[in-house]
Amino acid sequence: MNVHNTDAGAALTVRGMSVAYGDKPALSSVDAIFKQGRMSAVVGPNGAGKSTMLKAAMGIIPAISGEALFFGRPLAEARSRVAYVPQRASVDWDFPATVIDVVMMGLYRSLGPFRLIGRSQREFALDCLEDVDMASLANRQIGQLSGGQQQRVFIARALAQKADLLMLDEPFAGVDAATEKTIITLLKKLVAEGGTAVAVHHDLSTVTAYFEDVLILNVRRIANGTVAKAFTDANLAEAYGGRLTQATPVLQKTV
Amino acid sequence: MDGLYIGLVLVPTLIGVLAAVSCALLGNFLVLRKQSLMGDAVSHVVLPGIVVAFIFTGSMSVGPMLLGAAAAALLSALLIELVRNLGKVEPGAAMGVVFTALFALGVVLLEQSDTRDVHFDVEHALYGNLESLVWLAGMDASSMFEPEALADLPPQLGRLALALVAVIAFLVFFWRQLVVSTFDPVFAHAAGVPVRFVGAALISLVAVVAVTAFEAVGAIITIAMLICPAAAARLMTNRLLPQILWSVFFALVSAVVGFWAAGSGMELIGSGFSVSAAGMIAAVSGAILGLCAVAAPQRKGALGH
Amino acid sequence: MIDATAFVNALTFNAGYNTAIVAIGAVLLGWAGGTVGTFLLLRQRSLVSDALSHATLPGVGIAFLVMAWFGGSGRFLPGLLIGAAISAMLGLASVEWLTRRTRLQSDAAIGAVLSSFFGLGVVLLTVIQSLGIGRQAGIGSFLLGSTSGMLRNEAITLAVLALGVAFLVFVLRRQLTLVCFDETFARTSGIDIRRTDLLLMLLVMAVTVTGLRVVGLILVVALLIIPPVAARFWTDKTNTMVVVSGFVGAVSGFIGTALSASVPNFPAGPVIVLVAACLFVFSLLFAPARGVFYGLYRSRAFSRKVHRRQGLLAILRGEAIYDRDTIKVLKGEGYINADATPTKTGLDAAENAAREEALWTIYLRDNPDAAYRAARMRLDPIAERLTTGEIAELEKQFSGPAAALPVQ
Repeated sequence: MNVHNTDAGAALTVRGMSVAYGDKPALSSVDAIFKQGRMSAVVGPNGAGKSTMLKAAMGIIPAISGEALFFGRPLAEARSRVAYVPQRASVDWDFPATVIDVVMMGLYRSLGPFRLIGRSQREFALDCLEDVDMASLANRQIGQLSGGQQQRVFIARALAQKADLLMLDEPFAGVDAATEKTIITLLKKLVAEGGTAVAVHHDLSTVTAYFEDVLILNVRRIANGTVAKAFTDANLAEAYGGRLTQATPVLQKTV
Repeated sequence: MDGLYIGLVLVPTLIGVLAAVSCALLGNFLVLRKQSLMGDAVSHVVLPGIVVAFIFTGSMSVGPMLLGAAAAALLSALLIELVRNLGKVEPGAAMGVVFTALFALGVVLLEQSDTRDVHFDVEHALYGNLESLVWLAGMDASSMFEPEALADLPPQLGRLALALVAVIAFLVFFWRQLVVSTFDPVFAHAAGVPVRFVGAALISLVAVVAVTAFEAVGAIITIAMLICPAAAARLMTNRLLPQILWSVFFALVSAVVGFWAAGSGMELIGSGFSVSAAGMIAAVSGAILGLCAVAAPQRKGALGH
Repeated sequence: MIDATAFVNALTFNAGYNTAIVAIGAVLLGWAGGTVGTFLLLRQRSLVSDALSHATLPGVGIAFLVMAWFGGSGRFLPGLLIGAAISAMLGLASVEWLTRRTRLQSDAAIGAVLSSFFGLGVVLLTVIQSLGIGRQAGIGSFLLGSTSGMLRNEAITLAVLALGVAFLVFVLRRQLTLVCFDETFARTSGIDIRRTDLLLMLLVMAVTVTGLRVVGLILVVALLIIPPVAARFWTDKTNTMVVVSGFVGAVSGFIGTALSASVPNFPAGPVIVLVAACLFVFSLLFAPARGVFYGLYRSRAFSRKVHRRQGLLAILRGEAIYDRDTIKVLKGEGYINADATPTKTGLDAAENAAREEALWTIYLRDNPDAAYRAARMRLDPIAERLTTGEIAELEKQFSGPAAALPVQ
């Protein structure tokens, strides 16, 4: 979007990352760079290791080799600058908590384990909810939310972390159109203000519209670069192979 | 106040209440983490721990017994985790393997060792003997202020009070970590919450409480109180703090009503039976859960089953 | 401690009529438990059996009281077992009801039913004890099981029950395999899943109730849980697992009763469970399919391959290597010197690795669907994985110096 951003530093650098479940490889020495101030997508077929790469970079699952650097530093030194948004389906939404309770979990790092939540923190959490148009439901039990609303709460929690880099695992999976629009507008705004977003994405038809950079993955790296250069028919065919049939008409429209 | 009443009723009831409340507090998190049966598993392996401690020390003194039981409980938690990861089996099956194997080992060791002259058997391990934890020096209300009389209080009372304090301290100091890592462990991990440590601390505390309670009231109360009050409370509300308060209330009611029903209640219906207070307390907690499952406001859950 | 003659006698069914009957019963029961348990494990409901077995206690107590009320001995085994079965069904229904009708998950429902039914059972036991007839009634033996002092007709009752259960399991095993293996297929071939599940629970109940008197209600679940988990380490196939699990159960029952008959103070129930546990530990460690040692070996070997390949590619690109594991592997293979400079063999190997990477890249370009498998294959020498014809085809597509290869 901005020319001067292209040569800015990397928000996330992944080097030679291999992950295996037992001796079944999920990622095979993947190198990738996600630049600061850009919207990046991670795409690839099911089982390509997209979520695995995000999780391994965040140290949630162990990598057998390779490293991830955040703003040029290991995660331990940059944790406060990174917010991770897990898949919506990974938690039990019947948990006894309200919308604002969940958002305030995002304050964990800034508050530490012991400091109490004060009025200013509460207002800040409400602001974050306002950004995703959820402030009116702040005191709602989370189990009563729709899928899209749940995703918005997760995004608000990430906003509360005041991070420079947002790592999102399938943020648009199973959400309504309005939510998708809200989230993408918000992310674009954050990126325009200098933030960085990396999202695992499964809908090839929206890659060009939503993202500036892309990593195409299928266990190994297929391509990594600007959408214009890397998101090509050839690369996608290499990643998706025979599974591209449903994606092909979409490609002809967008590429 | 009647001295007999204090010594024979109030003190054992208080012991029951302390055990019940400690268990119920932790139980909330076990239920939310879908680890309810950890309490079951941990309570079962207390037996081999005690037997091994007895074999090593040759005495039934409390210190080594508690230590052995706590070690066994932690070992079992570790083994369960190991079997789960190595065998890639569901947690339930892993628990089933570990606790039955260790319990069987405990029974065989008990049969093989010479424990005949000490009073100890499996039944005692299972349902304790709450009724015997009386305070004979408590002759009247004023004995509550006499040091000699207080020294004669059942030592279980002090130990359980200490356990309860430890539980409350844990919940207060680790509240935020506990809640975040229970609701969303993946996010918690990414945000730098020591997820594994919190999980291990929770299970360790369950073990400590199970062991302390076990010695006083037997395994059955421990299992029931770790699960039933928290499960019933879950059906009452959609908020965590109220849920915890409800669970404490239910634990309290179970202990008091259960103990009363086992003793005075039996006399009241004119039967001369003396029945197990521990069993009765567990049964009452189950009845409370049953009532909640039929009529509690949030029994269906927000997801609307 | 172990009397060898007595042990051999017991193993060869020469330790007396009762012991032989009990041993046969235990073998049948072990087989039935292992087989049914496999389906239970595959349906992820192993611990439901724990609730079921604990829920038998109030039934035993009530049956005893009822029979004593009507002037019977109270100890009549079939009566007690019928009571156990009825209250086990009530316990099972409660678990089902709690998970279906409320927000509670199955673990909480199981734990709640287990502890409150057991508590009620304990209350009834103490009632029986205070009636002064509990001890001779041997009700306590339902907790931990006992074969010593078992009456002849009790032994026969149990053996006949075990035979019946084993027969039922044998008849129904196909249908159960189908449901556990492929629910959709089972449904389309006209099998009622809910009814099959109910049937499975009935079989679980039958195993539990039959095992109650021998193994005891606390440990009887072990018969249903340990053998299948042990079998899981040997195979991924449902059919094989059913067979292995049944075998583990039967062997545990056999050796367990024999040991118990030949060693003083060796209660049958816990010993059977311990034998099963030993078989489990052996499987966990040494089984070839999923055992710990073999798995450790494979994952270490794989991780070595990853480090070797990455190190070699780094050598070729002239990059410095920081990863300590990579350095260790390269040194171990003699690819680099102590000062981390590459050796001659190292350079050759690097050249070769780059060539293979390039060939794999070309291969994957043509066969994208193989990506998942290839991630593992490509770490082996290409000649071991592809035919000479395929390699020749790849080389035709590519010629030139290794350094210019399209390494990804």
